[in-house]
Amino acid sequence: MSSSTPLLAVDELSVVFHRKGHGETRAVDGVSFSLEEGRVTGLVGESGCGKSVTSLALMGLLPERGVKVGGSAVMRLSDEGEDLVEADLLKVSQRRMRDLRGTQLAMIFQDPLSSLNPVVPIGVQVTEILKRHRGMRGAAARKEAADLLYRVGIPDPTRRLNEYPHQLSGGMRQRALIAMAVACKPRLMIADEPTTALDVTIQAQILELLKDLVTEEGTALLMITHDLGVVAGLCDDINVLYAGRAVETAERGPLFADPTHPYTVGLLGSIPRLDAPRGEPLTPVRGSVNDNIAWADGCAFAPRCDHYTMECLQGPPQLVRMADGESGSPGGAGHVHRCVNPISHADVVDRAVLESPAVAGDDEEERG
Amino acid sequence: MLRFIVRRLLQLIPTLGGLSILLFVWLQRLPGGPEYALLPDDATAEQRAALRRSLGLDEPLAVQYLTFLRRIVQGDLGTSLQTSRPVLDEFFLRFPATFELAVTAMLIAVTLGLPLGYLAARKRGTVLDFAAVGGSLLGICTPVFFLAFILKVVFAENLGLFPSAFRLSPGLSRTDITGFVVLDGLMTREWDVVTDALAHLVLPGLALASIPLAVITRMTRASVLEVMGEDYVRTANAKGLHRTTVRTRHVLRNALLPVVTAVGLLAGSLFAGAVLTESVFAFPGIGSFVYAATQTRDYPVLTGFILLIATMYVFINLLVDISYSLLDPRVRAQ
Ligand SMILES: Nc1ncnc2c1ncn2[C@@H]1O[C@H](COP(=O)(O)OP(=O)(O)OP(=O)(O)O)[C@@H](O)[C@H]1O
Ligand code: SF4
Ligand SMILES: [Mg+2]
Repeated sequence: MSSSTPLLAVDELSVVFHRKGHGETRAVDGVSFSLEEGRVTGLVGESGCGKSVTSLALMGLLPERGVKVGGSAVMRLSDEGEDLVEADLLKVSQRRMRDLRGTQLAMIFQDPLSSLNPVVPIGVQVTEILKRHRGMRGAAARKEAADLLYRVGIPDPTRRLNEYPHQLSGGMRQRALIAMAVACKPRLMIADEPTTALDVTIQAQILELLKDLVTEEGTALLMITHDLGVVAGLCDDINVLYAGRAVETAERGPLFADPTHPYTVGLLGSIPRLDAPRGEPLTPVRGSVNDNIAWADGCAFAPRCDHYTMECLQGPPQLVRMADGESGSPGGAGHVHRCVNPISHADVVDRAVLESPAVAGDDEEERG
Repeated sequence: MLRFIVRRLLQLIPTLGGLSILLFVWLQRLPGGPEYALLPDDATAEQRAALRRSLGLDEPLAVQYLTFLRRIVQGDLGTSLQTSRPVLDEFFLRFPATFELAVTAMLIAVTLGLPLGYLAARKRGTVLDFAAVGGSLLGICTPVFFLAFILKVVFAENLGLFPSAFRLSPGLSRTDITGFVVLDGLMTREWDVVTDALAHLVLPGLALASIPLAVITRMTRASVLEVMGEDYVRTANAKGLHRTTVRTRHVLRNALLPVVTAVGLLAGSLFAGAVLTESVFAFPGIGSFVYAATQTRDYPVLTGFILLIATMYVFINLLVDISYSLLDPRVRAQ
């Protein structure tokens, strides 16, 4: 953390889809978090809670029509000189965003096979980004592409340059995609469940590769995952999302030691373990995501919560910061949750309200 | 690759064999044989029977079929009843005209259909999209014969923009080398011949292009829409590539794969479509010849034509498969 401002500060990000005949879907409903260089930030939560939409919003890759994005995502673009160059990723022009993608921020996706163009050789898919952002051409670009493939652990890279995606194994494909993502040394990388489609042994290798990147290059990694082992083994900071909002945010230690939000407790299972083996999914929580109420009316998790009281249905619960030392582990200062009846390991003393009550307009939103 | 080609060519034998049997049975069942078409109305029953006998039509079907097979193996499609010349010679004579017409139609269909389908996909839901989708529906529904007739009446007879018949204006002198008028004109630099021949190709070309144009537009549109939603297009955008790179290398390259197959199948159907178009424009190709053959029950010509189309289909399919394997590395591997 070289600077006092974070690399990326996401503030009250919201994404609303409008579809004819479907009304509105609030896929992301006010999510805030920040990313630091050299740290891995996890985004966890059940299917449909808005993880992918959050990452696509940051990348500017949401569909152009029928989407309303709110909030801000300010990224520090350079530290050179005294001037701080910043850009709000949600507001820059599409043109500028194309310059930033690949150079400042990059993304790898869940399914490596479908994420690669089946009819274009791997080499071209790597060199095209070198041409675009680093002005490299011909033999120099091919050499750099081979180096990149080699660096992400692809043996015999020169031969691979001429091959097509279907000729590579699943792990190799994901490595190739990582090579493309790191080709221009972006300072921020987003990985959306990068190992879900891979074998368990390959998963571990890919995670190791990502971890090395973060430590060696000081990249900030936003890691989206369902995997408890990945959360425990890789993420420094964790944001637990539920129905488009963060319900608990903490560093890894405090979160595993003192999960406070009933949903987090449910996800981590009855005995949260830091040494959870990789590949172990987050514990499913009783009920389904569809059993929720609008955040405007109260806690969206209430229908599935064992701890709910009438208080939970009096408007949206506020984000609450846990007092210093209250959390069992050091570093608990950034431990925040959104619950009126937190599971207490120590009582929540300081109920510092971190956000203003919902604005009146929120109440009009109805979920289908 | 060679083995693949040989295997595909061997498929021709059962295909043509089966088809020729079907043809034989079917032609036999058509009411009114050549003895009615070729002889005057007041011909006697004996005269008609004599003609049938001289054509070998009184033999049992199986015998007729075997005779036919024996001749085909020797490269003999029989003799045209209309012209009393070998069917194959008649086809060779008229093939260049039909080929030129078919190529013109395909060029029109591809050069208009691809951009139109692509733009319709990009501008989905706009007026342009509706126009393209609606227009192509109209193109598929309108009978070629009817369209050809309208084009001829409006643009040739009323507006006089294009000639209404034949391949060349009468009286125009030209050097015949290959039989392909446009090609000969280009080779001998007889530019007046080239422009005149092209002018004669416009209206029949448009009429014949209508169905392929509509199909290509729709297929391109659907294919581009599908590819635009693919993960690898998202990856290409995530890499910050220029819009044009994403559109050409990642969207079009993949979207055109299914269109190639369609173009091949449509190319085969053009020869069948030429029958009506050519007859409307008195275009001296195989099509108008075959149209006349249907009027006179010229069995050898009809049989030969259908076998010719079937052979073309097999060859075109082969070409499609070969080009597909060049375009799609996943197919190449198998
Ligand atoms: N293009 C879209 N149009 C309309 N709604 C969408 C669109 N994309 C996503 N959504 C909705 O947004 C919500 C969040 O989706 P998202 O893909 O972010 O979930 P996720 O947390 O990534 O889930 P998973 O773990 O299954 O990947 C879902 O309810 C989904 O239906
Ligand atoms: S606010 Fe209430 S319903 Fe929501 S998680 Fe906390 S206890 Fe459960
Ligand atoms: Mg997702």
